[in-house]
Amino acid sequence: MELAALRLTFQVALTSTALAVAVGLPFAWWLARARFPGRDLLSALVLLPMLLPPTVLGYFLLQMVGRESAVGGLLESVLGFSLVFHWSGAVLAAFVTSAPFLIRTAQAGFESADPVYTEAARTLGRSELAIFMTITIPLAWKAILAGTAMALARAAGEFGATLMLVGNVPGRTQTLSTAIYDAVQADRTGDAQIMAVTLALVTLGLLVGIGTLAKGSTWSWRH
Amino acid sequence: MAALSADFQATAGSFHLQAAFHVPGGTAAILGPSGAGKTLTLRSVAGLARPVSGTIALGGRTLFDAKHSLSVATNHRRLGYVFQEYALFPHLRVWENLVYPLAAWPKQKAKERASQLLGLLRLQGLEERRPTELSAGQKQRVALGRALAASPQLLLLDEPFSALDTPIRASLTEQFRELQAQMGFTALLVTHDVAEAYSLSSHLIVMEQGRVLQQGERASVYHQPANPEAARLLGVQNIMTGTVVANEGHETVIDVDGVRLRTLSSGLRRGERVAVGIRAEEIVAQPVGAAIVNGDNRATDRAPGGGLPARLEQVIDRGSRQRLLLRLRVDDHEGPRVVVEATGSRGYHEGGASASVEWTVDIPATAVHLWPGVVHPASPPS
Repeated sequence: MELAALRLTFQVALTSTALAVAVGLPFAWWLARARFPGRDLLSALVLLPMLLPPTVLGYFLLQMVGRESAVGGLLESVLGFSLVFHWSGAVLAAFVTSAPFLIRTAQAGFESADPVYTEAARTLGRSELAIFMTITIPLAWKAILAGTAMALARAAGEFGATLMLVGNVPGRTQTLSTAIYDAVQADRTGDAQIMAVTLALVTLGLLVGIGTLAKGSTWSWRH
Repeated sequence: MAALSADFQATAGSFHLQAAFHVPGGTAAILGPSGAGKTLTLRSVAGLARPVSGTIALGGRTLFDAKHSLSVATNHRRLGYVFQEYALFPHLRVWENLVYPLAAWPKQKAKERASQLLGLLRLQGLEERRPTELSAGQKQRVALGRALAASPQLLLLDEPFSALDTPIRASLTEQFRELQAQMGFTALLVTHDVAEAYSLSSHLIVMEQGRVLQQGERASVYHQPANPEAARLLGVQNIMTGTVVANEGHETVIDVDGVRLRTLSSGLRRGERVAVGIRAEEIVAQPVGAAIVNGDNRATDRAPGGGLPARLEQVIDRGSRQRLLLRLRVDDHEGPRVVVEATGSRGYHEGGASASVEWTVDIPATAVHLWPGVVHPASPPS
């Protein structure tokens, strides 16, 4: 088993999920409340990465942030840094493929919360930010938790887009899923099996753990 | 107490609201049927709905002024709002709901305030409960306490007692008055219930179809409805159309489908068409004995002390109160039908319900309200 790959998988999945929560949650909230023409198109665009083949996403990402692209060139000249063949590129790939799970689930959670609670909070003199943190998030807590778990699991298992964007360099950009591919290619079936089972168990443990957390959460209530 | 002045127009879909009223302080009740625009009025005052034009001012402070594109955000309006379904935060305990508006207070002060409110509202022992573990009356009290915690200038209440049982209503009415006496806030509540509006308020605003029909001090509005529409909303059950047949000295006589009603002098001209309103509870009806039935009861202008002859058509018995539907009679043909609210001790008893028994109906001159014009077709007598 490639321990470096296991470590990198965690590193990439956690970073990408943290990013998905930080960016995706406010975005999901905005999508749930905003009314503007083109909202349906934007919702569909958010869904797209969930349905497109990861290789297609990887290809687009490469076009957008690769060394030849404007963004990639800028990053390289200013920061002396390229996403391609760097673990941060794997984070980007994982983020793009996994954030939609969080956004869609959280958006549904925000939409199902009765707006009367935020209205009540407004009449009680609290600021919009305070209301978001104390009412909106807790009331959509279960949906957010479920979305986060799915995003984390999806990020941990990301393969296609990662391979396209950062390749499969052991010790640098190799995650468990790409390491499994390598092992199979090299006929190291035993290795592949251990890693595959590990990844499956970690993902399962994650989902069960978060499910339990949601049930026993102090924010849960009976309807 | 802060005065509330509102004169604005608001729309919701195809509904158009034209609200203009003034609350000098105390408690005002907006009375009206569903669809009158009561809740939209409250939401506009709270800033939860944005009027299209007009102004709203509270205690000399402008909350909304369309001309100057001014609209104070809801969280800066210094008001409390008790929602119809209470809107207690389901994920917070009772005490957490109570201190929610006190986030800017020092923790200790907020705690003291919460326990003071728990005491005032008789909620001690329920601090740790969640809203789902409360009865409707307890939820109502927590909602009231939460809305009042930060000492708002204005308290808005949407159908505050509609979901509560009668005994709980009575005790909450009392508690509400005590709170208001202690805290000195102005209150504006909406309700479709006349008794609730009257018992809670000092000021009545009668609304229908997005318009204010009448407003003023509660007793004057209640006892002197400005028009038949307001009268109907204020619980006047008998509203009909008649003609002035005589206007002499200190009384006016009205003919309603052949029946003559005597009223106080009105200044109306002879032959003028008028709308007539009579409160059901101010009419006295009683069955008459066989001897009287056989006597001279043909004349409609009966001697003093005598009532109008009538036939009992229907009784709705509510235990301590009865609602009687009586058809007044004129000679051989039938006159208008009147609704009479009787108490168990007066007028009605089981034996008297038989349709064959003659009844006599007394309508005091002071109970008859007159408005020039006819009853609007949209508001037929109930």
